[in-house]
Amino acid sequence: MYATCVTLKFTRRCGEAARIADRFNRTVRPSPALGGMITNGCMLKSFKVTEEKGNPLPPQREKKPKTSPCVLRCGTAYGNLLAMDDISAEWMTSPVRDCGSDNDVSNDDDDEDDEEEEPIRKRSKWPDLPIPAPWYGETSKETGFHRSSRLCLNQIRECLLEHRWQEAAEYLISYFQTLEEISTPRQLLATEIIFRLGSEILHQHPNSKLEDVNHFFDLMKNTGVRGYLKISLEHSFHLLLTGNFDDAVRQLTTAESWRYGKQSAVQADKMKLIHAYRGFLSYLSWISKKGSSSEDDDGDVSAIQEMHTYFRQACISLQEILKLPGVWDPFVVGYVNMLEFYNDHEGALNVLKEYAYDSRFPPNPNAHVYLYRFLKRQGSTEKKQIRVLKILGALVPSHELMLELFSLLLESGTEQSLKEALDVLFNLLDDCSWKHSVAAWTCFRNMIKLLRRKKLKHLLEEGWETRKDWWPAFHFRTYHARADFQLSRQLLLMKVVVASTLVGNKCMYCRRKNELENEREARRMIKTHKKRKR
Amino acid sequence: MDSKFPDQLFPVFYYTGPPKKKADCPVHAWGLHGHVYGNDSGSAEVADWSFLAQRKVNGPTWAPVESIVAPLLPPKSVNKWSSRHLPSAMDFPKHMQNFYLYKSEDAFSTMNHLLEDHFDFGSGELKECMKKTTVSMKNMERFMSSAKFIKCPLKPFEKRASLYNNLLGDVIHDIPPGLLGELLYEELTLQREEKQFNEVATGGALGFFLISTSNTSQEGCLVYPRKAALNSLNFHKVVVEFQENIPRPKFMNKPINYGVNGTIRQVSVGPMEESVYVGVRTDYNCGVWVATSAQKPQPLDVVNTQERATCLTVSPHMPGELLVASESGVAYLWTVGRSLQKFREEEGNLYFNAKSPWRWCDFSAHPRVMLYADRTGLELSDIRSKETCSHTVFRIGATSGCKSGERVILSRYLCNVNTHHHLVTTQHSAYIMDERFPCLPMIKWDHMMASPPMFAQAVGTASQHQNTVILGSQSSQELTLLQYSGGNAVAAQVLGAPQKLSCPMKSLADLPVQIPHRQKNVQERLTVPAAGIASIYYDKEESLCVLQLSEVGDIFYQTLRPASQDSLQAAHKEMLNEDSVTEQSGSSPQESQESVNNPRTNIVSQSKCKIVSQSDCPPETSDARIHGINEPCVNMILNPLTEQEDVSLSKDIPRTAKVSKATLLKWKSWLNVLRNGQRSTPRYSQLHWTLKTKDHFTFDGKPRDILGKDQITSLRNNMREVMEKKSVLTCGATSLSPPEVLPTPHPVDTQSWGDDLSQRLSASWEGGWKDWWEEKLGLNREKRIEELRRKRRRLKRTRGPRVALSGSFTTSASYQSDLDGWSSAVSDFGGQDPDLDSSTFSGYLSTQEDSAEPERTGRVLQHEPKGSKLSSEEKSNVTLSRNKAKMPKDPSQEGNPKAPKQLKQDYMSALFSSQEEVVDAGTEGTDFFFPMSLSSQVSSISNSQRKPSLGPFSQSSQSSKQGKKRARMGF
Repeated sequence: MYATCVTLKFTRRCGEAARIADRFNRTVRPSPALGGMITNGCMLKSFKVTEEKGNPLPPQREKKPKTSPCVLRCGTAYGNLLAMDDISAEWMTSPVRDCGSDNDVSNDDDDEDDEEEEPIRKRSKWPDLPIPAPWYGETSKETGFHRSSRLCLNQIRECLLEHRWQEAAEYLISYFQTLEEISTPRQLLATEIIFRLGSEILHQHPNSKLEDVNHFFDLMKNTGVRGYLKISLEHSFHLLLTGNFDDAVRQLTTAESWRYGKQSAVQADKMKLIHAYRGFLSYLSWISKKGSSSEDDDGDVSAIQEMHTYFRQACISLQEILKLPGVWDPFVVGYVNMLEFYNDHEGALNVLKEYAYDSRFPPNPNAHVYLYRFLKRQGSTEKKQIRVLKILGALVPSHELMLELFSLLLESGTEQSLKEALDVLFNLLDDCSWKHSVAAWTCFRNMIKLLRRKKLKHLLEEGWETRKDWWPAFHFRTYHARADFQLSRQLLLMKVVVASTLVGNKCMYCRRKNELENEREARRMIKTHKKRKR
Repeated sequence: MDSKFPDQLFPVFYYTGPPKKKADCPVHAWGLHGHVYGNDSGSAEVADWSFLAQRKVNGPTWAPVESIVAPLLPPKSVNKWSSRHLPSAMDFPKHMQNFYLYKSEDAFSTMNHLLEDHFDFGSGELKECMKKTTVSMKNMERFMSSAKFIKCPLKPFEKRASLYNNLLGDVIHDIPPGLLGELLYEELTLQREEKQFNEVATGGALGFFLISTSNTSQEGCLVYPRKAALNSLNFHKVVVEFQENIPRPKFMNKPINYGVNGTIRQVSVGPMEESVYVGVRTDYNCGVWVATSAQKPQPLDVVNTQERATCLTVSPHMPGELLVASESGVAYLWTVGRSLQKFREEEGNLYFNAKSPWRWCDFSAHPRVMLYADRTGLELSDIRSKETCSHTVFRIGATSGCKSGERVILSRYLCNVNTHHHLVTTQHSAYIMDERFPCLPMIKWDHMMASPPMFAQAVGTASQHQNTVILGSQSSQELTLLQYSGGNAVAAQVLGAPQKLSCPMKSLADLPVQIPHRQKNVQERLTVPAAGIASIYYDKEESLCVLQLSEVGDIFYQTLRPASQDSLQAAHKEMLNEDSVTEQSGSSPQESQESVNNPRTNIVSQSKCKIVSQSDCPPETSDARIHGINEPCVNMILNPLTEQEDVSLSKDIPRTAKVSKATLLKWKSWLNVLRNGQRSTPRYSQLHWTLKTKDHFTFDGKPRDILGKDQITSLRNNMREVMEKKSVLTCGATSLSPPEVLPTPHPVDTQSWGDDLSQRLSASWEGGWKDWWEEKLGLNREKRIEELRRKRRRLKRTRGPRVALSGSFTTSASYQSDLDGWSSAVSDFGGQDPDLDSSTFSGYLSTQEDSAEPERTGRVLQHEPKGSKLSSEEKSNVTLSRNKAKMPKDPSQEGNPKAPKQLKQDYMSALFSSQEEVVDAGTEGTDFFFPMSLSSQVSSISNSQRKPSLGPFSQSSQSSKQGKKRARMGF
């Protein structure tokens, strides 16, 4: 009875392997004869596996028998040796344990595998690094089937790493046999590997067509239930990237309604992502509907109705994902956009505030940027805008919106705000990405002028105090003068004003600037002189 | 514009907590797009939107100009380089034994001095008072001499030895064996770990800075260590020139070298402004040199650290600023000319206890904010504030999707690519972190390297759309090229799949083969772990040169160029052509049939496979080869598949073995220098015992080879040709005279011995001694007649409607008769053939005999029975074999009524021909021999009976032809 069951299982899997192989074949090598060959190969292999079933592998690795290492005749040492032997056996073999192919692929099960599970070391001075065991290495007890599949996988890896797609595809055709694995974890692993490698090859292979990819995805989806959601999502991405918007929407809709028993944590997250992307695509459809309905002004009712349906669909899905911590920039932008269209400003503001200030979320600069832009669009008070930008400035002092903060602070005009504005500018120019920005240095020049006018030069000195030991080397070397001059003369002139104010007229930068200016003048003179001569 | 932050980032979940994933099969670099977002650029049409994937599968690629690396410098003769053999910690007893046996002075010297007076070496008279307390050394000497045998030195004196041991065991050792064993064990373990992963080399000891660029060449300076201990720092001018459109680095002038106190572990080079600062780290010292484009490099300053220094980085922002970190956990800012300024100190690890003293530091976009890293993560700390003010950039955990056991190996500030990006590598992955948005990686690659990447180079290419990161690992010498784009205005995007570059270890396969022991030497030299990488990017012609330094100071380089669309298309076209070729070969059924039947094709295909695997991955070679041989059955069945693979694989072979002549020449001279260098300094002194045989054998000096010189050379040429064709060298292909063919000896003619004794002996030789006697005495005659009758009756009963069918079966079986006559002969009889053909019975009987005497079957015998009507020539042609023991017969004969008398005669003939020959039917068809049952004995009865039996025979064979035709029509 058991035998028949096993056989049935095999025939089903063989069929599967053959079908996938067949599809692959057609892409990679358009020869119909091969499909049959592969099926034969599978049958042969399945036979082998049945044989193996007779004496299954012992799941636990046997500990090495203790070899008595003693040629010496010393009792005390011997005891020590044996103790060490134990320890060494424990930690020398430990990497193999966590990297073996027996592991579950999908990481679904919540394992409490923590950092605490470190192998015991005797001394801390030893380089303590869990080097990944060569997972592709030979294991002590492996059957011929596993051996050949391991070698095959190595070949495929080599080919892929050297970008030999055709060869990899040919090896992969043979690798489909691993789908006939009898142990569930191994089979899952095989499914995962085949999906990854197969889709990569199909993406890269010059002969592959969209329909092949579609078919491959469809087959892989049903090869193991655990991968269904992931592959569906991936499939829809592929369709989006290749410009099949409607197909992608269809894929996601199908995946949305997929139900299978108890879901693991990873699957639940995938499901949420699928909902979110479904909502995002609805938002995109909404945009296109909006665009088309605004073109013909009278706008028939059904179009508006449809648009509204899309809006509702998108709203529901996006709301859900925005509650979970993460980076959801495209979703937030879309959601706020829709809410604004329907004049739900309060709701939009709440969403953005939540996204920016919720401590469960990562410190995403874009969240503050979106909030600031929203406030700006809504025409809210400068105070509010400044507050948002200040928070952004604390996170990213070098953000490009800091120039806007600077001008906002400048507008308010109080001494305190001028001080803050100067700080913003100093912080901005501390960052090396603004080193050559003409706009920033122009702002600085204007600021100096303003401070001079307002007789507030002590503010400048306060800011300079912490920087005077390194700004000259960072900004005002002779090398910088030459480089800035080559970049833009404007930059050089702005920086010279700042340098002469901060460092003094006799600084290297200013001297070099004068030299460069003189050179330039001289060259111009020579040119004009030549022209006149002609 | 580096100051911009991406407007939108790819969606991602934000997890917190320790890593949850397990390290499983690393295929994660492939297959996925990651996430996608759409750029709705105000257009109303869905089709106009462009979607951006986190991983763009079809990125621009770099293609190596040549498939192997080339040496840049002649090899220095290094007395000893460590082989890749990993020491096992369990070897310590062996080491202790060696210590006791060969370094006994060190092992026992103290006790030796103390006990000296109490041992008598036979020199001089002993004082009376000493006699009691002195041991004679004669016995001890014998004891010691026996100790030279490693197997069991103590055996012959076991009792005495144990007595001595009991007496002195505790005190005789200078170092207690327990302690020594423990220390040795630790040392061996440490050595093993260091061989697998030596963290002191992190960062790499190879540096390059640019001096000048022109339209045709580029001048720079390579900074590398040299000498056996890598303790000499060399500054060497390198010019990259284009020769035949291939960029090649070339050394100019002589290097400027400085001796350094200790092995150089890391070379860090700052950006080239008016001058360039070069930091050099050894284990306990750090030094800094300054060089300008005009002046030669000058040493500036040296600092000394208490604990081992683990990191030295030159500032990309400020001249003369460096960062130093040491194993004590302290990180210093080192301004040249001033003392070290401590800015961070951590006793333990940052986020969890990784038990690692390794520390690293680097600069960031802000010149006063430094990056401090250890195995658990990266932090930014502001050095202006007194109290530690820091925030996380990266940590091992679920946030960045780490696997359990993952550790930071290296971090690098990618100033020249993007001022806010940091590269972090771990055993499994490489991350690009943006310091403006810490914790979540902008990009994550699975780099697929076997050993952790310790060296990294980043190149921002001229187009600025594509940044190239090269990772290098130490022990496995791997080089992996990764690419990404964006990070400024748009979100960072992975481009393409990781690409593996060639390494010295694998280049050997493409070089000409050498004499085995030299090959082994070279192989050992080439598998030495890497110690650093550098890259030279030439933007005028867009080429990238990757240099790799090994632990013995060899530098190898390879050049990459962007794979243009044309070349890709050409490759594609080529692929299509190959496909059509394979189709053709596949479509002709004859060929495939041949390939199935012809074992030689199979062998060839196997050997091709072998070659492919050899060239592709040498470490796996043996595996692949064994695998190929061990499973021939799979090969047989999948033969057409292998065939086709061969054809298509052969397409890849020329691409992989793309080596220019210049490179080969370089290798040749490199190998020569290596060999000569070794000859002068032999690696091992001759330890083994040599026996001189000069006097024992006299040699007359004459050449023993009978072939002339020309013949030998022509033979060699033939051999080479044949090897290229992968066929067999036969005599006909050579100029040698064909070897003499020895005539096979005449078969023994047993029939010529007429006497009884000879016949009986012959019969008993065949195993038929009993039968012979029974025949001779006529004992079994009645019994056999009876038996035959019974059978005949049974046959008659079963004769019925099935006859025709069974007949046709036998006929069809007769087509295969040359394949297996034996089984069909049995089935003939069991198949209820009603035919009274004598041959049936003879067949049956002979079959029985055959099974009794299997060794007889293969023998070829001639026989010439008396009174036989067969012509002598035919008889001489008669070959007896079991395969032909069955005679083709036909069902048409069943209708032939036979006279009872003749029937009886048939019986008789059938009966008595059982142990004698059956008459050949080959009289009509000369092309096939008739089956014969053999008997050495020819009885008088059978002789008399043979004559009438010929009639039905000829008849039957004639009708058998008709029968054949009919049967064929039936099928």
